[in-house]
Amino acid sequence: MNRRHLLLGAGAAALTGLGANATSILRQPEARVHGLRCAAYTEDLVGRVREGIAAFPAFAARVRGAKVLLKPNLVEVHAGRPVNTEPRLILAALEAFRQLGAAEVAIGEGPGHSRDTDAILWNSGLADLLQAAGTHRGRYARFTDLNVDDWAEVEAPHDFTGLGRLPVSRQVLGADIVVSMPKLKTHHWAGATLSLKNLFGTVPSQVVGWPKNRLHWAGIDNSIVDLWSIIRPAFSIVDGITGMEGDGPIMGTAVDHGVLLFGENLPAVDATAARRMGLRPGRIDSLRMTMGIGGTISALRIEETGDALPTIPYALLPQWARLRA
Amino acid sequence: MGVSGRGSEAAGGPHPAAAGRCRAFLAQCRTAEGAFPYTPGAAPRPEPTVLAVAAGEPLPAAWIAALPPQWGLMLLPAVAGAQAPAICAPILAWLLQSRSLPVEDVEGFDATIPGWSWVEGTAAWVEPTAWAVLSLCRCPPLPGIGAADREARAAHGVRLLLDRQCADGGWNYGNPRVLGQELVSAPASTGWATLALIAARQAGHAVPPDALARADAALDLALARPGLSSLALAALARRAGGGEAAPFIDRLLPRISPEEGAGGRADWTALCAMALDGIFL
Repeated sequence: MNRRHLLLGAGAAALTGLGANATSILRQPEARVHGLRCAAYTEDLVGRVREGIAAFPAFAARVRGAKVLLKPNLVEVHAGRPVNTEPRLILAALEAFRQLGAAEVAIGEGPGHSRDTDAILWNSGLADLLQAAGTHRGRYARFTDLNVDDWAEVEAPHDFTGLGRLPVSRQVLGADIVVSMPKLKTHHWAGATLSLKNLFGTVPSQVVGWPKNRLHWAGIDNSIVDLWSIIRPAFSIVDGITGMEGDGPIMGTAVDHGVLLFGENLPAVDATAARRMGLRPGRIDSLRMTMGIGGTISALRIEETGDALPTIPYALLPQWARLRA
Repeated sequence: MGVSGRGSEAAGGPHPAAAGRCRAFLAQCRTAEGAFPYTPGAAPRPEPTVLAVAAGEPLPAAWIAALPPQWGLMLLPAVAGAQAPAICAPILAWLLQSRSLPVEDVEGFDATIPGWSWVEGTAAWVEPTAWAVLSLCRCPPLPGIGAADREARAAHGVRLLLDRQCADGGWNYGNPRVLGQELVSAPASTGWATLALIAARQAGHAVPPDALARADAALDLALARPGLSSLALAALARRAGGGEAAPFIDRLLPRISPEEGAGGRADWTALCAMALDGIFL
């Protein structure tokens, strides 16, 4: 018996009294999230990522021969602040997908604010790592700045933004498998930034402006859910080895959390990550909005496998205190 | 700045070999229309094309004339107002009527000053506002564009830039602070804003010397957080202010190649070509 079975057993009686809430819960597909303890970036990250992927055999089988795009969260570099998905984890994921037989593994990101992507790559250490790994070839052969990539306008199935169609990078649309690789962080405008919010970086800023300004005016949560509905990334790897609390996503402070989360249902991964941050996922608007359109956030519908992950209550700005579990 | 202003400086620039490597890469990037993409093989876009023109590449007049006004063209009147007035006039007219929307509930800065946004119907940001100020101040007089209107809108831009200057002397992307937290400046935004304020001062606008001195000092942040476009912009701004750009140029030189230009990007390469050529922007 695993944690989900226990929760289902405990929750069955409760469901009968929940009425509309029960209906809402049952509309969420069953999902699984795999968690791994990982205390430091000096551990065997390739092995950890491979272990996380292997927990999803059907997904792992899809990797062979596929074009994989890793979408980390790269924002800007501030000494002492864990703003970005750790470059060593990005490189480990690149290597893991290569070992699993991917035909191509690329990295793409369209940073929110900074237009000097070169500065982010070099100052974060990612460029050095890619170069050392023989993947850099002097011109980020494996990295695409999605802000200036060619794009296509794609219809949003649910059109929460009211914009109808959203521009999405060709690199993203052309990938067989998109892997969202967020940093576990609080966010001063969205509450938390995880696998779904990370998808903002798939939209070329040359079309919507920096920092994805048109999306902000159309509603952050609306845009998050529309982008998820359009792209439907196949997988998520959440970098929670060191997270960020307080005034995230840039000016917050580090949390040594020591976790990695993996999963195919991104809302489920994010809901689980939020719980490990001491947050109530149902109070994060974008997560709640995914219920009924394929997202799973109820603990009753999420099977957690792997290591038992610690819950650390992340410090929140006062306006986000309502997210506290 | 302006094509007419670079002339012999480009031919006898202080780093002709490296600048030549930039130009070799730009030649690889140029499309059949004479325009430039961000990266070789991609579709041509306004911003890299305007920057390439600023670096001395020929103006693809027909291609640009077919585009609607947009952020990527904001700098064109500053770059090519003298050589292509017919193409630049509608862009300058658009800059005069385009206004960012005010933002409510902000603290520590005046979000009602009408600046310029990346896309219509959104808020003001530092870089588009700096480009607009540069064009309004640098473009020669054009038929149908009133000088008083230009001065008034440029004054709005100057006010906004001064209002958004960070405590460290530079500029973040839009705000100097958010939710009570002082923001640190970003080198590229700082470079563009400094260039704009220098142009405004030269055009007769009131720009406090202290603001420019603090901005100039903040350019050195590009050395602490180097990136190709940040270094190039810091060099251009330092030189525009009469200072010595060598510290930035020294960091750029090892990273320029004929095959890849600056980072494989036409926009960054054009900025580096200007910095290496000693073009006054």
